[in-house]
Amino acid sequence: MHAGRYDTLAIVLHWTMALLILLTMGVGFWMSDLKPSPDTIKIYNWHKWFGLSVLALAVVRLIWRATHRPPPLPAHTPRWQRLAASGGHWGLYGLMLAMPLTGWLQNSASGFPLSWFGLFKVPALIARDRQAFEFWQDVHEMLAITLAALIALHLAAALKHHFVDRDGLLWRMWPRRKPAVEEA
Amino acid sequence: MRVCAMWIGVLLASQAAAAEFRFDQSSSELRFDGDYLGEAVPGRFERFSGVASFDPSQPLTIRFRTEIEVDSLNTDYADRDDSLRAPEFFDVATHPRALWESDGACRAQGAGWECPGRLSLKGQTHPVPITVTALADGSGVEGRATLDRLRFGVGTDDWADPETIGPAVEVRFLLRWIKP
Repeated sequence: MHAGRYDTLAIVLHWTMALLILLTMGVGFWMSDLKPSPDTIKIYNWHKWFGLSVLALAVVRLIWRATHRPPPLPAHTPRWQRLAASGGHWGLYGLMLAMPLTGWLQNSASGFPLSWFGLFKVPALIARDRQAFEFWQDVHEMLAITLAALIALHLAAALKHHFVDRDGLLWRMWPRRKPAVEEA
Repeated sequence: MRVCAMWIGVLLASQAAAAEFRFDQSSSELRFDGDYLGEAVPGRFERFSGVASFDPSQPLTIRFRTEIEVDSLNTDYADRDDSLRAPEFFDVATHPRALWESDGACRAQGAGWECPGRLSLKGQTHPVPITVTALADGSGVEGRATLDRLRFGVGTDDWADPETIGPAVEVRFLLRWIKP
């Protein structure tokens, strides 16, 4: 048993969402330059389906976060790093909700019907409106760039802890336990 | 039939012989529902004009002629409107106007009439019948039609794929006469 490890649910949520978010963002940045076609529509739909999945998982994740304490940071962590870690994580939590929600708002304003993997209909949040569409499109795009930057920082911090500080912080969230040899 | 009696009453009150009535664009509507992945995406044409001519003694001989400025289409979303104006869909640059014209007498159907006619759209003309009912207050008519977008070449190449955008388009209209 390794103390200071996230529980299984948190680890599964983290990596599932990491994969989904990177996929959704990648498709999102790529598709915005595509010419309109039935294939483009299909690609947009996959982006929307992934995004709605992220939203559902983000809700589960925030419930987990509200009912659990994450494992403590190493005792020697400086105050500025504690603040940065906390701010970065809450920024990521916020964007996990805000990205899909602003996409959903943008889609509602465009008047395109929305579903989840074609399985069930997802209602519009607001009425069709050109100005509202442009507003939410801008917000969605700005948040996407913010999220990309936060993910890059998150990744850089994790790698620095692992390879530079060698403080074992990454093992808190790694899908496998720390090998016994290293633990000794 | 009550509606028909009212209709004839309005006609008799306003005109004695065959007459032409122009549509009042500001209070008339021409809407359509496209089928996108099985769900309706509504739109409208904002500029259209037309006349109805009829002989009050023979209301079923009513004739309509409506000219639609295709460029005035509006689905409340700029990218979609641009796509619809493009050559693959309405090709408004080459075919700026559509025309629906009666080509025979109407026949009574339920509370209204079914009227034969032809739609000219994007350089093609095909029969598209309409069903019409008189508005209860005598100010005009409302009605609907269903047409197959693919017969008019609206949505070519990849866009002809009926799975993304269904072939059937529902058209609904509300036409009010300009008050004499």
